[in-house]
Amino acid sequence: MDKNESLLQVNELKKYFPVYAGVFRRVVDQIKAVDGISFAIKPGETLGLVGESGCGKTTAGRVITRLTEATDGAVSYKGQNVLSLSGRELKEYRKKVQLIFQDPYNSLNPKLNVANIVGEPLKIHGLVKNRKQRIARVKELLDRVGLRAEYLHRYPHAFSGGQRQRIGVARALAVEPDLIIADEPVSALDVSVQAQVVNLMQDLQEEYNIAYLSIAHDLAVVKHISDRVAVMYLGKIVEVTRKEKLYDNPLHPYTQTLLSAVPLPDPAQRKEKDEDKSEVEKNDGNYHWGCVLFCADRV
Amino acid sequence: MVKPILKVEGLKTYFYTEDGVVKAVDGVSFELEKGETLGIVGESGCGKSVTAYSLMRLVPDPPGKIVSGKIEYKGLDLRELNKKQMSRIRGDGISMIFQEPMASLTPVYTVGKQIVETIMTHQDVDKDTARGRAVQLLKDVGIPAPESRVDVYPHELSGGMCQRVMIALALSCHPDILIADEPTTALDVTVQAQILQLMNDLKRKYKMTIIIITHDLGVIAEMSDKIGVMYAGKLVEYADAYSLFSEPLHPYTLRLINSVPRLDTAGDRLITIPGRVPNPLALPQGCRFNNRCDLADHRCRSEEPGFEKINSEHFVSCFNSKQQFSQVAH
Repeated sequence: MDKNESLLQVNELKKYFPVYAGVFRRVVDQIKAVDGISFAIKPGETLGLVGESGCGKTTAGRVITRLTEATDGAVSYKGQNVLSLSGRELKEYRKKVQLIFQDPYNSLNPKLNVANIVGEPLKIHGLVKNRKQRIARVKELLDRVGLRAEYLHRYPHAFSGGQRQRIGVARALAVEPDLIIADEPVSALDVSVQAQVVNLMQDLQEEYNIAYLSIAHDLAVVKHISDRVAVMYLGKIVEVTRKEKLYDNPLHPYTQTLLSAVPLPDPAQRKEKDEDKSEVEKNDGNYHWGCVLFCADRV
Repeated sequence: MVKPILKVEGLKTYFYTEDGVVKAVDGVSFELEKGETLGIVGESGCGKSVTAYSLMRLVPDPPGKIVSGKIEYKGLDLRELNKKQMSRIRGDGISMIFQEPMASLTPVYTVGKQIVETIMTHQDVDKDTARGRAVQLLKDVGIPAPESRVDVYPHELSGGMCQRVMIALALSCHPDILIADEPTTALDVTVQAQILQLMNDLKRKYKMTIIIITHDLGVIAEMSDKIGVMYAGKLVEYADAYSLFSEPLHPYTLRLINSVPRLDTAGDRLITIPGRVPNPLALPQGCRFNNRCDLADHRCRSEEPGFEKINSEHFVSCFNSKQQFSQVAH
């Protein structure tokens, strides 16, 4: 495959959720969770998808992995139309595109031990021939994500949040995916542990040339891990560009507001930022009619 | 020197559980002057919230108990007060806002009723005056159309709006001290910026003293005059905001600051702190950070460091803080 060719291509993707009302549960309205987004991810690249709660970033991830069916639009993976896949082809696609979830406490089955959690995808996709091979591969994966092999027979409750997230990473890694969709992988973790998981994900990317779609609300984390960043607001992508450009020279007023809202861990920069903020507020009146930001409830 | 409005000395709050004694807060001391903002920062389980609950005497007993220490508010030891005297202080003298605004308001009463109730409990005013004041408070915290919003229920408001109502509620009796426990953790960044701005504005307006508790170093840097860093129940470093960030003396503080990805610097690889926060039931001997610290030596593993005064505003609990400082300087 050509290096410049994109791995995943998303075109005008839409996901509307119907709103029901009345005795007959008629559809009275639609919530436009994802309202026509387009982007591409190249092999080995990290695209950060940022936005505030309710902007549709998680729904976008779920639609791409076919956990939720799209309303309209196209998703193609290596030139293959993802939205029409079924049966064996869909299974093959899901092997190549894996998910890491936000909440390490709810995304692991409490009744399975680590060997089964990490081993299950190997079994499902027929990647190992027997139990012995499977255990050996699981041990290898645990070692790769920095967990000891003795933990093999422990259950999720015996692990801390950071360790659980490592198990989640090992599970995603088991099937050697090309793309991992990481939905807020570190937002539930403490700062010191967050850094460990972020570093691990970066190491794995270098080693296996994995592409990430990193969904997050924390702009600083996204800046740290991404090559390019897309900013989402009310179901639409309002700005997407290389990370240096986005952070040094944000063009969309929403991106500017978002960036200036992040408190910096340095008291010396407090005053400087206050001035920036008033600058953005002055821009408020200049939003064009038709832009979602214009009519948004600015609570 | 001005007399401190709040003086906490050797505060210890333990929880007596079936598995053993959890020393959630184990010797915390600080002083606050009127109008200052103290930030308490630390990771989950370090005892920062329990410290706040202890100041308000809201630690559930049993299993929790403030076992020793002094909490002096305007020269009054809060630990000596009975229930009735303490409820007068809460709201009137010290009030608190909580992490989850949606969960901290009663869903069955309108926001107006909740504020009116607080005002009438503490002050001798009639209902109409209290309601008028409630509307004024909602206006102060930046809620649009306060005259009509006073009659809505919490579920009709967004998270940011609920937090504003919480702040209005906390301010309703003009407290001297406002304790904010993770006030913006559940909120989006743009809403967070508005709430922090609001707290700063109100602080200036009412000359309030604020204690803000958070795990977010950005929020701490933005808000605080003084900062206390907590680790495993202990205050490990205490300093004014500028020197804490420019010359952190405790290895934990330094690594914590360095492990945060930042917007304003390029940064390649994040510095990590190996291991994790110790189990509160099995704290390491000696310094509680010794198993994660690269400066730890024999002494750190056997002896617990005291809370040493470096200068009038900088305290640290580390045997190797001088070595630490030379590392930062070079």
